[in-house]
Amino acid sequence: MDKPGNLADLWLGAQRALVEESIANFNRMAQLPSVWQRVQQVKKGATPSEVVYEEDRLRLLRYVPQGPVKFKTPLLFVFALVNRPYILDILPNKSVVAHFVKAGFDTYLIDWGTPTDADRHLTLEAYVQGYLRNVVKHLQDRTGSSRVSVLGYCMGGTMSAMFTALYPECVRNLILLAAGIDFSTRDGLLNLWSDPRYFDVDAFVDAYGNCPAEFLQACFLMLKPVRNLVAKPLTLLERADDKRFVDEFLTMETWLNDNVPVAGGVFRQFVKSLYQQNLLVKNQMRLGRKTVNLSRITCPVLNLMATQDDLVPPAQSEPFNDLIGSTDRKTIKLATGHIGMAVGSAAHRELWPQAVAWLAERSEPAPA
Amino acid sequence: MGDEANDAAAGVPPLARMWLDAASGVMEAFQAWAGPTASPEAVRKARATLLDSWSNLWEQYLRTPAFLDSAKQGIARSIDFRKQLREQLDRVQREFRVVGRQDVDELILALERMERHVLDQLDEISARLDALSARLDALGEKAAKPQAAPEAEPARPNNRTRRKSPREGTEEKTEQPAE
Repeated sequence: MDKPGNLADLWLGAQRALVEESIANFNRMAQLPSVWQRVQQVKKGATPSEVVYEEDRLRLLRYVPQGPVKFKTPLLFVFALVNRPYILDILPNKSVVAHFVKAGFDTYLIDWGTPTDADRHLTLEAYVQGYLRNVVKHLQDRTGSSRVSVLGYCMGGTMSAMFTALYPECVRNLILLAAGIDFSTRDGLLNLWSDPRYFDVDAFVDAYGNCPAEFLQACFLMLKPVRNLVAKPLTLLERADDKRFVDEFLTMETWLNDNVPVAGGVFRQFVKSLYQQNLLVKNQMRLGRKTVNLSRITCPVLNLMATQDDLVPPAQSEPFNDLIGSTDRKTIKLATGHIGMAVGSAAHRELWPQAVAWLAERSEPAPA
Repeated sequence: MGDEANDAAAGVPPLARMWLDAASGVMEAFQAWAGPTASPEAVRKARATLLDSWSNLWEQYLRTPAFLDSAKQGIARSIDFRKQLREQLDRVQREFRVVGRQDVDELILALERMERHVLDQLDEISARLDALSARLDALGEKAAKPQAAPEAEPARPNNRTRRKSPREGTEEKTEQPAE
């Protein structure tokens, strides 16, 4: 049993902790009104860029080199169609793009834009064999390099793999970042939810046209409902007086809530041919008048995946290296989540320097 | 599936089961810091434990057929509502002779059919051109041979060469447009 003196000390300690926590809470609450103001100031993109090509809603950004360009082979970032691409260049200290720009790569990024109701018939053919092909042609003309290096993230990785299989002569190196290839796994909730027994994608697209951004947003939130709807607001409340944390938090949240609708044709094709029928790994995926055969990919391949990815589980990305014809292929796994691959401290410390070195070894040097 | 069997045996729906488990998780987590010595740090740790267990329970629930069925019904209801809304709009558009979404969809389908037809024709023409080009190249090579090697036997006149059928020409094509 405690002595009376010890009990008094404990009681005093508890009182002191209570008062200190109350003062801290007051300070946090006082900061909350400024949060809305800061939301308005969130920047979308950290590295200076210019638009060098436009087609319909697509814009091709070229990042302004921060020194001499050391490689003739341009690098093209291909992002998913479900979110904005600025996650790859979200903050100066968390920019994937900046790693490559600083290393002397001539770096480009595709911003697919926001499809309207008029774009609901666009299919993967239009994106892969149309827009992406045209962008690569533009880069070939612009840089004089017959081949480009492609880095595809998430759905953009899947599209990049399809493009490389269809036009192997145009791609010098392929980097996949958390890209879904084999959809047979039931590790991820999206794979389960899109099961044809529970989700009639035809009826959905026929009724809605495009897949609404709100629907996608709800699906992503429901992947981790407690973390997204309870833990995150609590953390913000607790650290409302930490200016740097709040700024980074708001930047991330701005991006996470900046979903775009997906063209109905693409959504239908992606769900049916990939999530439901898994045609890509069977080499039966039809794009227009062509069949995508992954074994036609023979360029060097770097496959990056996150072990805690709840959107694209590693089981979806891992089989890719065994399905292609390349002999130069490498896999790097990082213990982080889907977004952590782009913005996590560990990714910027460990992963991206490795990826830059890998690409530098395989890119054509710029003429002296 | 084992969980489902337990649920069925206990007669407790999965969502109610999840809440019951969450409540027991709360009790366990808060036992860790109960008492006057609780520091804010201990409370945070207990909260993190609680949220983790709650998150796991949610994830299990989101995989149950009960959730999948309810999500399916929810989406089906929203699709029905959307369809009814569209039917009403179509009726209004027809009354006012305004171009509707269905008209645009049908127009696009017609254009796609025409596009496919034109592309088929182009493919056929392209294959024939490739075959012709290959034959011309072969003829050019034959014609060039006597000049390069004047001592060799003169080439026979072209009219004695067997004519190839267009089918044979197509087979000479080296690049396949699709696999």
